[in-house]
Amino acid sequence: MTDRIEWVALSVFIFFFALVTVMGFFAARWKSGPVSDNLDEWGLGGRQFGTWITWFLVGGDFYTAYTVIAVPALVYAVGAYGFFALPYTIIVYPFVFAVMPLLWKVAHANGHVTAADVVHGTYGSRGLELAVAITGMVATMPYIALQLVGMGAVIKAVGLWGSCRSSRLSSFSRSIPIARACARRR
Amino acid sequence: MWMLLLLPFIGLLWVPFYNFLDPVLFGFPFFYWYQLAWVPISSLLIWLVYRSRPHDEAR
Repeated sequence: MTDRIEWVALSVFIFFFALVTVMGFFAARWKSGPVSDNLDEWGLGGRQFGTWITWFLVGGDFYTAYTVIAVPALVYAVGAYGFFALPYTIIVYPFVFAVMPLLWKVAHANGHVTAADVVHGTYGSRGLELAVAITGMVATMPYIALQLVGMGAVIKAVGLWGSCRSSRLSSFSRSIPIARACARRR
Repeated sequence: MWMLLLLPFIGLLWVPFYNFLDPVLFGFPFFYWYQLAWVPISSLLIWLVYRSRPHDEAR
């Protein structure tokens, strides 16, 4: 990993960052509904996503910083052990194919938004609902942490260390406030 | 038909099935290409099961 700014990589990164941001603002106007009126609008896009959008959403859920940074790094470091990621990704698909349509039907018919809603609606237990909601949040935490580490690795790979580690600051990086602060401290 | 969905579980979750070097394919040890081969095979199996079911009402 280099401590210089990688111009090509940084340009590609900024281009897609800007593109996705602009697309996000346009998407907010597209088929917009009363966002503050119900959770469906905020959490499920007003239940308007069809097959095409859902396909991209599933892709975005699966192929993340974990997939493109963490797993290859693990395989590079320890070899075949890192291959746990492949079988589990493969067996998730038949599982989801069998289970999710059933879950979707119940949620669709009764207007549920989260898995906890479905559990409460089906079993009528507040305790079980709470357990499912908390399990979902706690189980997500390590994954979110992993994503943040992955994003950090990506940003460092384009040359933005965000610290004084760089010993060869270019004239450009010295114009970035944090780099200037580093230069002053030295 | 639903039983087809169990095949990836059987084929992948028992590592001794594929923990071998040979036969090598395009330089890849069996361990690697066997697991990667399950990606298209699983897609095919899911498609077969999907095809065998009556269509849902769209909405």
